Amino acid sequence: MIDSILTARNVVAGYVPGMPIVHNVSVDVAPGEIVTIIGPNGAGKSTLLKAIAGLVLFEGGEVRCGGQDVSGHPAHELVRSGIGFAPQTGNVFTTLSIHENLVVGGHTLGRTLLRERLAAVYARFPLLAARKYAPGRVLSGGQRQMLAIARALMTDPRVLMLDEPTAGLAPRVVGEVFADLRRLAASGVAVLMVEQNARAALRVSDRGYVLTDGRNHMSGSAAQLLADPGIGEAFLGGRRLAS
Amino acid sequence: MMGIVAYLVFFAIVVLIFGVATLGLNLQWGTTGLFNAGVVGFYGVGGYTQAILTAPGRPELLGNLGLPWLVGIAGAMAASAIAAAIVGVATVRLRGDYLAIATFGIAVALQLVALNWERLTGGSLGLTSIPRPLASVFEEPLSYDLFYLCLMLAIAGTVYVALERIVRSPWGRVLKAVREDETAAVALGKDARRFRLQAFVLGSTVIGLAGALYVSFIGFVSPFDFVPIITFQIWTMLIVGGSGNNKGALLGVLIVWGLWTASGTLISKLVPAAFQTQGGAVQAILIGLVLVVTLLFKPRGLIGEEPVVSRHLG
Amino acid sequence: MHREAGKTLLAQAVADGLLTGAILALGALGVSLSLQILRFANFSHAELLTWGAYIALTFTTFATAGTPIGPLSFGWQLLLAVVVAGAATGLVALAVDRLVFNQLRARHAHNLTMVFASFGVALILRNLVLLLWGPDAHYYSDELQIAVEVLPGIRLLPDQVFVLALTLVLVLALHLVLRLSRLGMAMRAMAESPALARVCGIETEKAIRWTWIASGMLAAAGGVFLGLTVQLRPDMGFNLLLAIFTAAILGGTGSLFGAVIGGLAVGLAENLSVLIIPSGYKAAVPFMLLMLVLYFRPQGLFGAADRAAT
Repeated sequence: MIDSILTARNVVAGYVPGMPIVHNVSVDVAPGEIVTIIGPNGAGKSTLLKAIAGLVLFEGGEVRCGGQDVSGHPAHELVRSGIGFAPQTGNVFTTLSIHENLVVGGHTLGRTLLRERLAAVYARFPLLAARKYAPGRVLSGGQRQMLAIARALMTDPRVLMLDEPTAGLAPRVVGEVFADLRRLAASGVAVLMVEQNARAALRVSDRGYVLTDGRNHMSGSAAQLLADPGIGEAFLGGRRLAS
Repeated sequence: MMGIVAYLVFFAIVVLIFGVATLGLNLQWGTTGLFNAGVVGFYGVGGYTQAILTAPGRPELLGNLGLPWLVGIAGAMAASAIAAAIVGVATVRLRGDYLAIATFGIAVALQLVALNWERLTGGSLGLTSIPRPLASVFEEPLSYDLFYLCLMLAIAGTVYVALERIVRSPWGRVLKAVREDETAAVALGKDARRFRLQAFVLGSTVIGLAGALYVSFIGFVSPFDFVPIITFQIWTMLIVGGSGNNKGALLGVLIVWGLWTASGTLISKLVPAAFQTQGGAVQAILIGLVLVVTLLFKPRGLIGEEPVVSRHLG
Repeated sequence: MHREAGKTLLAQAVADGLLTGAILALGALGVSLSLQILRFANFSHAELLTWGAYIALTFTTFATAGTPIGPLSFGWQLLLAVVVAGAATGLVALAVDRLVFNQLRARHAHNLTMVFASFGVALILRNLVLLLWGPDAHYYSDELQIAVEVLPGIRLLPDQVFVLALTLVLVLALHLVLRLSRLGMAMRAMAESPALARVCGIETEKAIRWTWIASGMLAAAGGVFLGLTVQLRPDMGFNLLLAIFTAAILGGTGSLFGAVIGGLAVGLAENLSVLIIPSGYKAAVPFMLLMLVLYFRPQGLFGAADRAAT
């Protein structure tokens, strides 16, 4: 077992103090791995990511990134700790251009480093480079997702968290996004994502977690989860678990 | 001795008048969460309408129709309702800030109309000889004031009971749900807006009633009776009393008006004449401080059952 | 001859409107910034105009407005006073935030609580001016100015030309900072989505502080210009509050460019209206504009449609 770079243990989190949505959830991601979290709506998957990202109330548990404790740290510090996050809604700045989105993504970088990273990101995403000054709002869903990932990569994160990266995207675009994530993981980044598109996501993942009612329900390799009959019917066929 | 009794009666009447206004504001803010930043505008509309409808005719004035007192009261309430509807319909589908700005604006606009439309409002001189109800029956000042006090007790009591009933009714419960939970409001959609508009108009109608009662007691009206600081005073009365709560509202009026008149008297006695304006400034600063401090340290005094989580989280 | 006179009147009203509009634009920029970034309608913003004007006044009282430069009524000391007043007013704005608004934000106060607090703050700030400087009107200098014919039929005082020019400079400077600098991009990012901005590593608190400072400085400039072209009174800012809000809303939520256009539009509307309605109602024109905007296009001219809705 490779050592995980992101470890979350017994995380308790929610929106209203004293009324957590996430109850004692633990997840791990190792460098180069793609880990997908699936589960029914309202299971707390997004809330978990947001809690790690410092965007909602963190009420208990421990999160470590590369050995460093980042539990409940404010959102703007996470970038320096090596965690990048692409939220589901509002994942790009629509009033800023592609270039400005990236510059803002590199807010914490010094001038030279910013220039280097911009060059690297544009090299990796030539489609974005071609339309540097287009405003965010004219981008399609798939292009926005690409920009969101590119923006998160500006800080060269060790861990990239994505909240439903393929929501609302056409199947071909879904494939492109997942291909990008595979390449990313291959370069050593740990990828943790929440996905409704469970089957497609698990196919590109190494491991997965199933959350229900804000708790860990099951975990295992992606192949195991895909093969498991209970999971298959409940989550992968589009049918949802009756509560 | 008689002087003190007379003063107390007068004081009580003013407290009850402001009480009615505060009850109206409480329906808007305490129950429905609507921010009326132009309370004095509706108060003034009610007052001026009362004057215009009931004062005896003068050749140079358009209004002054010499109608009976009750017609004046009804007209005043209708006029406030219309003013509220104008502002309310525009802003009910928008953020709360917009209602604040719009109500602030209408108060400013109405004051300008009062100052400038001389043919109707008498301009900066205002209107005089506004008939007081049953003035011919109680000719002596003290006996008239006592009568008016009883009248105010009756009216304020009726308004209080009526509003309490309304708040506890199914309609009132919807208002509270809409105030507390914007998701519920969104789920109710257009209906939530209708409820909010109704509450806003009804609250303003009550505020207009208070204005009419004020004017028909004093007997004359001018634009300088309806200055922006009155909005402030009424808000402070509501906050200090603990909003969402009609009883608290009335208590707040008593406390704030008591402090205001006491400090006013103190200042006029202690401060030399040349610095009276500055004395007034100190009074205003104090009321501002009371408000800000209450908001900082006793937020429930303002919002009652405040939602625990900021709506702007994330 | 009649038509000539009418045209001159119109041209003059336009010129006056642009002047008022410039001052309103400076105030509206600050209001727009706080509507976007701080997410509440700050009713105390107009008092920063008053404070800026009076701080500059105190500065010039010590240093005198100086020997006038050319046709202007003031010397370079007033220019220095604008800078000093700008810095000082920025600090006042920060102090108010630290004492009141930041505390409320920390307690997750409802945004209407902040609006209400801003009323209290406005009352305090306005009456402090009354207390410290008295109720009488003040002026920066006693110099009388002669209007200059700038264009055929349009006479402007040199001071007014100066105000228009300097406002243009300030607005351009703000625009450049917001467009090109990283701080400006961070502020625009924050204005659109505080959560995403934080995810990018932007410390929202720092951006908020700069927002207050910028608002304060712009307001101070507006106040000095107002004091220069009209007079100084404790309620000078308060009298513009409605017009400033109307300008910000007309221009559009989320658009600083809109705030400038909005300011100019309201200024023009006010001054042109005098040609049609009695001048006593001039101050009600912003309200009518406001109602029109709220009824027909609440997001304003340049705003995003979803911003205004509940």
